Amino acid sequence: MKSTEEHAGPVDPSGRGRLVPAFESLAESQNEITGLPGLPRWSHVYFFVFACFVLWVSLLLILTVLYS
Amino acid sequence: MNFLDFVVLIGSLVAIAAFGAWHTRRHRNLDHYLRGDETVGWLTIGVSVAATQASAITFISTPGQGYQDGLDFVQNYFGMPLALILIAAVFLPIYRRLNVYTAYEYLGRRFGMRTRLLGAALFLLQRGLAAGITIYAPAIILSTVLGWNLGLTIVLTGLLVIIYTVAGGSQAVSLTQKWQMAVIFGGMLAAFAILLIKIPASLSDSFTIAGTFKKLNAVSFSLDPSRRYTFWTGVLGGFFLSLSYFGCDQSQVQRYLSGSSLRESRLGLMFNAVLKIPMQFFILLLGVMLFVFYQFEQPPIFFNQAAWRDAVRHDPGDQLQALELQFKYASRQEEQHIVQWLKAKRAGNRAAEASARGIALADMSQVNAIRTKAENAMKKADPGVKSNDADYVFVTFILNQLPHGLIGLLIAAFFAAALQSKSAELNALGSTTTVDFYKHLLRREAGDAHYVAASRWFTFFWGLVAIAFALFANLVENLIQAINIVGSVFYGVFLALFLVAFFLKHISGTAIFWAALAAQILVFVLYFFLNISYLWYNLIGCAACVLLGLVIQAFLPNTQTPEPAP
Repeated sequence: MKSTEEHAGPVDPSGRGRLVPAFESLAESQNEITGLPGLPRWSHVYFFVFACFVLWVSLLLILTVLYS
Repeated sequence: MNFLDFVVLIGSLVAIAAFGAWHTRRHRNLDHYLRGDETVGWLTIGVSVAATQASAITFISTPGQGYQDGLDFVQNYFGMPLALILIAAVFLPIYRRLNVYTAYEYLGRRFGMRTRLLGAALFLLQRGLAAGITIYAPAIILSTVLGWNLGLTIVLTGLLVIIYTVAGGSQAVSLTQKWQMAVIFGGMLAAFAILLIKIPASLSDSFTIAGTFKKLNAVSFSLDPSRRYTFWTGVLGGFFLSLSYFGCDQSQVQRYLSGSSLRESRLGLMFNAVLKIPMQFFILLLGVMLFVFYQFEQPPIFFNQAAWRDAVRHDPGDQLQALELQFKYASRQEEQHIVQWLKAKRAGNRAAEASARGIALADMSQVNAIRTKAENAMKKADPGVKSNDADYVFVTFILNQLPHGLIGLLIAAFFAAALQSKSAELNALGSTTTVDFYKHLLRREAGDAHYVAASRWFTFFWGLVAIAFALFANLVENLIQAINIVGSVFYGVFLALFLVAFFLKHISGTAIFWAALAAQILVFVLYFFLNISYLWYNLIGCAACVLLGLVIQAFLPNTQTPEPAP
């Protein structure tokens, strides 16, 4: 899915084009350095968070199966 | 509560409020007042975001939910980490780069003034209601249990939070939330440790008991739409609820917009994405362990003892007292059979273990049947009584089982939780009223000092509205669910406004405005006529608004005029 903010350019008077001031693309903001050891890019951080989510759900599932 | 408890309670609450008000008393401009000059680090943002969401209801009501229904409520939070990733990746960079004070300013730039005002109005309506609940919830429970005057408790709590929020603005909210969270977690951990020490069984046996009584069923893949909490309602409904709450609700947006950089704001959100599920699990597990504790300790037949005593007074036939005696006898029988069951388990006698476990399960059914009879008899004796006493379980444990000093700390923790979420809500309500309505519609060209003063007055006004609502509130649902239901009814449409703004560039302000109104009416109608989990309304409201927007747009020429960028 692509955000409308990714489309640069002046405001279209018809209202059909880009409707907010131009700024650098979202993709660029994802490439910023995170400053975290082992997770240099934001995509790595998101993957780490997703992995934690999978881990929590898996542990809860194991708890459910073990004690049901 | 004794003198020591009151010293701990009043001392900690007043000290934190005074600290927040004093450290943030000088506000030079509106930016500083509403966003704290964007100087906040990721840990403070992370704690602030968690604190805003975790009201007193979370800490009082969730253990009761765990006691009553076990761990299944944790599924409500399954969609949250996924939503926070999307917000950090898409919503946050846009808000920061547009340099907005409120999320609704963005709607104005994308769709025009009408949709901005609709979004802000939906927020004020929904959050204004929730603000009343967050102040009412702890007050009703604590005043009932401690015998305090309900009205006075509501007014004093409300005034304390108004004072430091009005004085210190956004920065005071973040600053005080950090210390309030320290008090809360200190108290909760101490209570959990003492609870585990008091249970006369090993942790393994406690889990076995809880599992046998179906309190550890944390994940269910059931497709039954009437079932409130399943993996599917959690991941889908919870995702939309969280996306809406964290991405579009000003009380949260204002928290992470105060970050000193995009990195700090993102890390604050990711901090919550990782820790929210284990935090909720811990609070629910506390409730499950309370259930285990009360298998060895005689529980009251009805945890709201004040309501029980009232009902007994109104019961001419002494039916309630007879049921209480039956309940005590059945509970004792159950305890004895549980002890026999654990002895057989430790001895490795499988046959005796299975037999005692079966008897204990039958005892539990009998105990529950007596409780249900008692609740019905209570309703008959006093039709106004609330039959749901889950919210009183944890408070009852605290007052009867914890040492003095710690009781004061736990009660302080509940009030701190009420104050921290309330302050963020008031701050957001005041900001939205000032920026989206007052500054935008009434006084476009005034100095910063004027807007700071206006913001303070609006924060004060919303504080009074919340107090007034709380004084007249009367809730039937378990409190943690009541607040989620209010959110779910509004949040779907609310979220759709932002999703369309971000991702569907051809839909105009006119189309989305009418689509949002129609979708909100549809959600109201469905809520009153359908029997489905409330979490689905997040998805339904959002989908209906987007689809209607697409349909209406197909029939409209696009002539909208977005607001000019400042």
